[in-house]
Amino acid sequence: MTTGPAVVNDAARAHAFAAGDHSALESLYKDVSALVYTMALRSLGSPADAEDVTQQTFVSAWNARESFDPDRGDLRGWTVGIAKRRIADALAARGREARRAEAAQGNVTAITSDDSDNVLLAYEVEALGDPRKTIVALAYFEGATHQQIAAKLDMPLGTVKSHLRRSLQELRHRWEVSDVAS
Amino acid sequence: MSHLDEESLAAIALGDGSDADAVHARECEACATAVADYERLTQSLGALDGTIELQTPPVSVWKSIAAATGADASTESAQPDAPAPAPTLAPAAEPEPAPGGVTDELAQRRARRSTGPSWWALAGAAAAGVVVGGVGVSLASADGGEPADVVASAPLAQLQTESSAGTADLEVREDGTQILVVETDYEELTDAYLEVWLIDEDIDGMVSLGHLTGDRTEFTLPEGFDVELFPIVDISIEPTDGVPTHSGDSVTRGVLET
Repeated sequence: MTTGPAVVNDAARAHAFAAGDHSALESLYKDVSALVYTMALRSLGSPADAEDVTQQTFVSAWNARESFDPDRGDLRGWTVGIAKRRIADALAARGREARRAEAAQGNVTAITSDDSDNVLLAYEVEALGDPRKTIVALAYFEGATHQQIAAKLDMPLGTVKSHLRRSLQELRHRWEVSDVAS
Repeated sequence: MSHLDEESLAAIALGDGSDADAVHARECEACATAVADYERLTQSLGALDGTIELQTPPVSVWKSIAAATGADASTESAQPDAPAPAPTLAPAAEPEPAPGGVTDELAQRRARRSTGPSWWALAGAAAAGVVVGGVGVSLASADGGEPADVVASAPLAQLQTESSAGTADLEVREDGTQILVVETDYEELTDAYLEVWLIDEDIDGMVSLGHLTGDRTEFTLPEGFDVELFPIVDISIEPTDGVPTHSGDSVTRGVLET
């Protein structure tokens, strides 16, 4: 997890970005480019297309920076929303291409946008930080019961449940941020 | 009946909701929609295989972006750290800190030290995210099974990300000794150390409890010390410059709630 929980709510960076500070764009790219690129790669299946989407996402974000409200918005969520739109555009364009070329090719890899949603969701789980990411991982990736998690982590059952409730709230919130942005 | 709060909605999705809340969620369209959202989320989580490797785009992508935006294409600072980030979501047996990630974060925070927002300005945001902790939960302390009551608890949050960063529990031993138990990801720093403080609500007065020395550090409070006067638990990066005051470089914070 060398990306770690990214510096997502850095208010100073958000303001600097909106104000046109190039170093804020660099910082944003450093934190979010791997997420955007991987989402695009999973959805589109082609490194070249994923590179295009990544480039378009950050250039679009920069050009639209004045429409981003740093006091209300979450820069990472907003950027991911733009990335989702660019991925959807690329898929739509490919669909048109594919229909034209279908007779010749007839072999379009079935990749759904669910793949990029999964990348994002896994990333957000990671960003919950410990102990929540571990608790969520045990509960949903390993299928452990709440009691088993409590025993394994030597943590009161109520604390495990509380962490899970908070984690779901956080994940739902993050989900909505990027959905609203797109 | 008014709508259910987020906590209750999430509890229903986890199968832990109260009967009354469950009845309300069935009858109330808005709450039913919210519960359905949570259930979709838990289904998506269940469908994840838990291992997603993030891949880093080639350097040429940043060069293109820089060319299109007027940023400095030659800078290496924008490129994510090599090797390619790979968040391993496979659960660890124990909630261990991930050394690489933590080091990176601390390094980033240190780098921001001169330009970041004033640390006291962040206090409001940190306090807003505060969660009421467990009240009066009796447990045996980890060191020797000595019984202690947790009388107050502070969920800790990283100030930059607002993500969860462990807990600080105020325990009272049977003999009346107050112990602050700080559990958080510990990372040894080369030119600095982590110091734990208790700060008053005005972010004016503060007392240093000492250095963070591990993932779990216990601080014995002086007899009669009133934590209610200094409810904010703060962890800061202190350079080894011999200056005894707070550096202003807080990384983690939480508020003790009884």
